Amino acid sequence: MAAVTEPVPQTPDQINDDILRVLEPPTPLYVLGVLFCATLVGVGLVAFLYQTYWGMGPTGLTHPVMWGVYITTFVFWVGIAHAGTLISAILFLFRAKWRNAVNRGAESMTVFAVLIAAMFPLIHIGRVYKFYFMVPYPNQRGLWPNFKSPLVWDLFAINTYMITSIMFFFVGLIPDLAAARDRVRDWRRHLYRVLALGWRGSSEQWRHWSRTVLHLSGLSTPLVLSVHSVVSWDFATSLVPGWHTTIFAPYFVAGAIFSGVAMVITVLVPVRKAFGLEAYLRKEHFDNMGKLILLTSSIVGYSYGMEYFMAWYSANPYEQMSFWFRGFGYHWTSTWIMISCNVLSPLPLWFKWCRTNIAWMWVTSIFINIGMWFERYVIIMTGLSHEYDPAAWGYYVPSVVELTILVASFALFLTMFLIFLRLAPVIALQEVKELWYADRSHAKGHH
Amino acid sequence: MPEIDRRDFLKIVGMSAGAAATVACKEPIHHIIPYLNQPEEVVPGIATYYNTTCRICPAGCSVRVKTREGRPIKVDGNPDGPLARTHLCVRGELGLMRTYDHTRFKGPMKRVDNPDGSISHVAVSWDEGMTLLVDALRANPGKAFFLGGHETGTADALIDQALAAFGSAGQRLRFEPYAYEALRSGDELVFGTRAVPQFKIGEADVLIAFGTDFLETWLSPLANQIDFSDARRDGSGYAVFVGPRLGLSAANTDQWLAPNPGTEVLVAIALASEVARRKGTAPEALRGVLAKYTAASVAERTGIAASMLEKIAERIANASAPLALPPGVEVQGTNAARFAAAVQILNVVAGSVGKTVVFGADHNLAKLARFQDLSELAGKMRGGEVGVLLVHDTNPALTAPQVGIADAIASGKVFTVSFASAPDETSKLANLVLPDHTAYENWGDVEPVRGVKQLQQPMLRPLFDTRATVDVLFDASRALGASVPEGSLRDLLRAAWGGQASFDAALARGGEWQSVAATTVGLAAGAGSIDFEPSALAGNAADPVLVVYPSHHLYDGRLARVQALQEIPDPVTKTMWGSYAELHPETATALGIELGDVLVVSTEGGEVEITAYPHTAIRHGVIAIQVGQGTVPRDPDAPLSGQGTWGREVFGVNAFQLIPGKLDPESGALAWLSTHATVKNTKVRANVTRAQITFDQEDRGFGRAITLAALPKLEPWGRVGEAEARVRPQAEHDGHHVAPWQGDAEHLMIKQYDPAADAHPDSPYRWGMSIDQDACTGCNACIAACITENNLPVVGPTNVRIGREMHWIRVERFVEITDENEVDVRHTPMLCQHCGAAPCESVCPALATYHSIEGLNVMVPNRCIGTRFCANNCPYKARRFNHWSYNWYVPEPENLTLNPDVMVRAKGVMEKCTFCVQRINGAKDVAKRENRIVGDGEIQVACASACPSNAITFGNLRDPESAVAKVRTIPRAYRILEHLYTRPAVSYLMSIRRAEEA
Repeated sequence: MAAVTEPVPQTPDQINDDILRVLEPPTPLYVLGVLFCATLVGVGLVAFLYQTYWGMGPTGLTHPVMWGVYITTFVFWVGIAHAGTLISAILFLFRAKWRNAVNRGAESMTVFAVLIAAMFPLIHIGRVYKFYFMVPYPNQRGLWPNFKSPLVWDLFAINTYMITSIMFFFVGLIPDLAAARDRVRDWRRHLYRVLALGWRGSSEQWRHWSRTVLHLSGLSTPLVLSVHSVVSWDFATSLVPGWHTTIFAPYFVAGAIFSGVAMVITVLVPVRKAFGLEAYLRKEHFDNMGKLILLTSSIVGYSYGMEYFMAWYSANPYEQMSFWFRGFGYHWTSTWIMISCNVLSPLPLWFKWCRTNIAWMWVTSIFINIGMWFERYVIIMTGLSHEYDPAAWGYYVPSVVELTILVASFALFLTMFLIFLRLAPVIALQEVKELWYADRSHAKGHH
Repeated sequence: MPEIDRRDFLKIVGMSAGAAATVACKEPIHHIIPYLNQPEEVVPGIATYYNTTCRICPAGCSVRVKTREGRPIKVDGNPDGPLARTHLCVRGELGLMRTYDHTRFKGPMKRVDNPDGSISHVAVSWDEGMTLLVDALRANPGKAFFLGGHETGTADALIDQALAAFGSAGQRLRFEPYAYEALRSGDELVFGTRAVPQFKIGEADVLIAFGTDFLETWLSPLANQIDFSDARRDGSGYAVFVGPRLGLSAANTDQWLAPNPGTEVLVAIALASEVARRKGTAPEALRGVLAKYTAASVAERTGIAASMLEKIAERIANASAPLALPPGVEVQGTNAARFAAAVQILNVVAGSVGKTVVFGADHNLAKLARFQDLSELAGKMRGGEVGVLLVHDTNPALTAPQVGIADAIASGKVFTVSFASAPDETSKLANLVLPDHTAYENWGDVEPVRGVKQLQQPMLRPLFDTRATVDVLFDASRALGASVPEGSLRDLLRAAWGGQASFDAALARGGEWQSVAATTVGLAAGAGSIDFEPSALAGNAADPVLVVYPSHHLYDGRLARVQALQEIPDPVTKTMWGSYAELHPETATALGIELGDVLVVSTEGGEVEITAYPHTAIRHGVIAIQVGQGTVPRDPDAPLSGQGTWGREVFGVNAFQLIPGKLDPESGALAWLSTHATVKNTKVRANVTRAQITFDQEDRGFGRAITLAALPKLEPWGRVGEAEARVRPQAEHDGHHVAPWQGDAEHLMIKQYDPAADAHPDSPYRWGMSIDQDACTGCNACIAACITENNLPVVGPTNVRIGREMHWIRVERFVEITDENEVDVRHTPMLCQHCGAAPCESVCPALATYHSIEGLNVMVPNRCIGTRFCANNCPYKARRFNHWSYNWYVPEPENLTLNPDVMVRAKGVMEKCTFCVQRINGAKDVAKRENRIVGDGEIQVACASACPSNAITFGNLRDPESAVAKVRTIPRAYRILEHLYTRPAVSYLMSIRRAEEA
């Protein structure tokens, strides 16, 4: 990079100091932030309990729109959860160097997002206290779940993904937890001592560790593609016009990566600012993530166009009516929010100036987050509103309870992320150091 | 006890306290206790059936009531009864709800005038109530007046006896808002008799109705509908409707003439004139009047082209058994009697009298009061001629606000006793309320039609502290020292029916039905010299004409408290829970009105605020409002109160108050159609509670039709699943556009399938259904039957507004053509199709819905976790979700209507049509005991048994001889959304377009 004006770390110790600075005692602002988010989570919990007590009545769900904000938010968080694994696993296998600075943040996001996503099907179902009917557990009645149902596939896909990404995240953390154990002197030392699993940094440990990371990367890579494909099949295997289409799996996977990367930017920009990590989260990282956004935005934009094209080309009146309704019917605003945010707002990123302008990237990423939530909302709601039977057409308006729980899910994400920030290094220490050494030896070789 | 030390003591204390606490934690145990003395005819778990009479409306159909363990749970038509014939209408199906209404009077009440001028009631004992009544009667000797409803049996005579005992003999009115005064006077003008004859709709090949709501309230609507469907089997029959509104009856005819409101009478007499000219057989006496009103001469005033009338006249003249139905109340104007006379003249010249208009077995309406009599009564009350007003089974404060009876009662000058069993407008003002039993708790008999005598017997012990009004009146008579027959109503009834033995026999049968010989009538002297003038319309001619019409569900408002009836979508507008001002969309646009605007509609009679509802099934320049609403709302202690606003406004407005009190001078009938209405748009937007947001089926082949001309060209079934090409002759689909359900099977890749295959190979059964759309009138009786059979909850207006109604079957209405050449409105009952390849089954993660070995799509609410994917994936949208635990909030004793054979669903689970699986299993149990399989017709699902049009056939598709298997193979059969390859087990028969191609 020619125009590097950003600070560059000078020694490994400085890297330690810079990155582990996050472990120092919190500021009042931070405490206030955590409390605020936690309060919102509490409000969401009350809303959920209220809904559990009364049934789905307090929601806006009705006939014929039986899925609404909850499933939208579920798909949204599953999508967010994709960036972490993509960056950690796939880019690791491709040896993309720029991933090292962002992968820890992305992985933590993955874990939190997938945890939140996994909650939403439970919030959504009518009898949450009977959720285990979906789980194949041996029982003397000989009752099993229906393995033909995409929702059961979903259960397995999400759980597999959750377990793998937690393992991946934790294994990656071990050396850094050891570094933190060696650094902090307060009560957290005991916590890190346990979590670091006796890490001493011996070469044998390093060897095992790097093999494990490699294998887990290999294991995670197909999951990136499979999880959201399976989620998309929740829709694609149905016969709802606007859902029943083969484009859904790649379309959803691209959308997931799109939103996931955007969320990484949304979260890391404030962190970079707050903890002065400009030397590590450098502009080249944002430049690269901007390119990823452009790629996935194009795929998503193509999918939007292709959906409309197929609706026209198939001469299927149900599809045609559904897509006309999507664009110009009762819920047209949602559709145009989706298109503006996801297709139009990333277009300036074709210019490098925009990709390396942190503020620009941050604003764009927020637009994309909004747009991707609306994408799922539009698909789910407009598809169901105007199905086959014109006499059963209807509308859906989300209720206060649903929106409260939606907001609470963001609050929960932030709460977990904020607490995580203070518990472990948000930038993968050992990987940055590794890069530093690599860079130095590389430079030496030339001089 | 030295051996117990401190530690042991503490242990024992702790143990006992723990044990006591554990016991206290337990739910109280309810034992199922067998009858101590089991009644002879009751076997727990086995239903007992009793015949009685439905008293929900004056038609008085004989019904068979299913009771379980001493409580009635379901009403069906009595197969032996001449009126109901195993079927029942939407009102009758839910009639039990009036008895189980928890807001009924629990006992006698006394009026209290509060210092602030308001009126309230306090409970009193029967002793006190009787004392108050007797004192009032004693203080007003000879000044008692009995204002009742339509009463035709023994009780009628007994009330007369009681009145005689009070010294007020004959001081009595039998008041009904639909009292056929005009028809009685019209018959007098034409035939010289006031009798109301039988109109044999079932035998008519051409039917022409003049604003007659023969499927809703007119005379005997259930019998009318059964007859109407008989007359139209397999494309026979032809019907024309003349009136301003395409109501339920009109939508089932083939042609709709909407002359300028008020001039319908000219259409009738001009048709008579044209028919007479063609047949040349008109009686000499009528020649003069007929020559005066030709089609051409009335064309300008009516707005109906002469050629159109001539075409219809041609049809009537060529018909073998034509029938013209006298006007219904919605077109009853200041010329009502003459209008009825004009229609009867049409019947005379068409040769219908004696053929389809038969005197002899007349409707028993002779004693019904004229509206004018009610006005006179109000005058008497104001003049102090009435001292004690006894109000029974009628509600003039609601249905006749014009005459001012309510004011006279409220003034307190007349001591008013109400015998209402539930609060209404009149009882709200009464000085004393002595609640009667409801019809299902009481003895009685009726004779709605001469020769049709039916008994009414109690189905359950009275739920509250009520007494039969006849008994109350007799007790009062005895207290006054008068001599009246000894015994209770039951004893007197038994005596009237010829003693115990014949009484018991009649009870078992439901009544006594004798055929009455037809009598002949001649023309009255003055029949040839009647002048026919349109109804005079008051108000500004530029304003829309006000049309007020009877309610199909709520009758005149007496059923407004039955919440389930409020919640069934209106057959025409598909609105629920409220009143709507209906306008043609073009009229609405001209007036600057949009859907949901709150309008202020005013006439000389009064003013109401009402929500606008533009739709096309109404004439231009007309504003129509249904009666029945605006009555005392049920108290807010309704299910789910507090979880949403049960606004008072949703109960709508009383449309009666808009009718100015003008009368038809000849018949003394109220002129319903007599004014223009001023419409002011407040621009306030109100919620419109409706089940369907469009009546356009977007060419999706839900309701399909075939023209009469193309019917013979339909290919026979041949192989199942083939031949959608059969639809192609249809004119409307001849364009370039071919919908997925059209075209030939090969082109569409519709896979051929045999629905009978969709069950286990060893199963003798595959249950299926066929629905004849041509017969379906959209009357909603199936929905009502399903509600009572399957414990469907009422969800209330707040939830209905956003679409959460819980009906397992709905009647979809698709409006195709509504003009004077043709009416093509299709009614498609939609329910679970029990698909062979059901999209719902594959997506349920918990296997809560699956395919049974008998081909049923089974729903197991207990296994359901509520992912609702099945509802999303059902293209028929037949699945309903329990957003709340609706049935848990049903107040006692309304829970007693619940069918014990069907589970009550709680929150969070899906439910849907089960094909009445409880009835299937019941029949299979019987068959198994007899070591055979279930035969055809043994199982009647609730909707099929209720359907007055016999549109629904249910049975076993594996039995090639079953009715359903046969009807599926006739050429008109089709299946909805077949191209999705869901393999539905429900097939539909196309409706038939009888009108000539324009």
